Amino acid sequence: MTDKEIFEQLAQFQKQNIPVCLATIVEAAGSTPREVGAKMLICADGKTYGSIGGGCGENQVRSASLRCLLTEKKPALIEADLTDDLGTKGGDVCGGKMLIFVEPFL
Amino acid sequence: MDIFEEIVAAKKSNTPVVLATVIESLGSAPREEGARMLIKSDGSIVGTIGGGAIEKKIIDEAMTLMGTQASKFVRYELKDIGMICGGGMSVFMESIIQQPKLYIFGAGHIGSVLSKIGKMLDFEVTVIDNRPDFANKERLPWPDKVIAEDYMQAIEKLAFPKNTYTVILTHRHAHDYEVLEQIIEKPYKYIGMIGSRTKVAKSLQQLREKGIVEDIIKSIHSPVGVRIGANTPAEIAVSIAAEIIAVRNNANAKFDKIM
Repeated sequence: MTDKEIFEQLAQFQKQNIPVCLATIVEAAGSTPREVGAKMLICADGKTYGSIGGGCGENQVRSASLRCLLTEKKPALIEADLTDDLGTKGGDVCGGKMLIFVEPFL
Repeated sequence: MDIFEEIVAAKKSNTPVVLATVIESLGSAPREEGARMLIKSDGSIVGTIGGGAIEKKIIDEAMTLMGTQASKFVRYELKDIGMICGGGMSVFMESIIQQPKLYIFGAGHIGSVLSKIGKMLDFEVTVIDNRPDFANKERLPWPDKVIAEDYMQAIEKLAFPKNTYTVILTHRHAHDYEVLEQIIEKPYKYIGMIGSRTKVAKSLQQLREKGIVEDIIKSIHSPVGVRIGANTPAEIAVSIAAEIIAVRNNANAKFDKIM
């Protein structure tokens, strides 16, 4: 899904009053799978649209987004650390860090 | 219209905008996280991130990003910019540009696959061919537009903004050349033309004789695509797409061209 479609989808969810969380990469350092500005939408049922890079990092963001959407109900800035050197902790080994802004639209 | 609908409308009408989002709001900052403002190319705004000096700063910053592919993360201490409310604010600004156009002249095998890849790459894709048997929605369901018309007439009706990507793959050398001759006169970001080295050399020589300057001739990607040993139409389409991505992302790709 392209960024244009993300905005279209978001506008549509809002019109239909479907709660959704928007995650945007706002800062990236080192090697990260996607660039600043990449976006993903996360619905309350866990369904996602678009990608902020896949893998464990994306899964981390998906969980944080669901928490943000269902429990916290307010925006948050989260860090995804992809520097698990040997992959021993089950993380990603891309070698970078990303700062992601997650924001619920309730 | 809310801000996201404005963004979708701006993308459709090909006007650049910059979206500013408050990411962190500390102390007595005027607006909360998630507050948004859309800045248009004439400097007008939709929504607000709090007004005052900081908003002015954000608008100025946004104007420098307008029309580029850049984004920016800025942090402000409000007292530093003369706002007595105190506190601080982090704002994420992202430039949202028009969807680049991809014109594919020639609806043959490569053009067909390339139109499909072009959509995946977020281009507004138009395929043009003078053969209605080839240029039709049944054969080509993917592109935004399929035009079955004489090439010269079609070009007259098409818009060529600065970030236009054109790939020339018609079924005849003569058509390739006439299309090339027309579109190098227009603004473009990328022009690629298929052909053997012999054919390409001949076409480029023809342009030189016409008085086209060397800088323009050098900017034409021909033979088209990056060298990956592509043989089948799908492989060639991938190699062309790779070249287009490199140009779009200003990547210093090694095109390994003979000329």
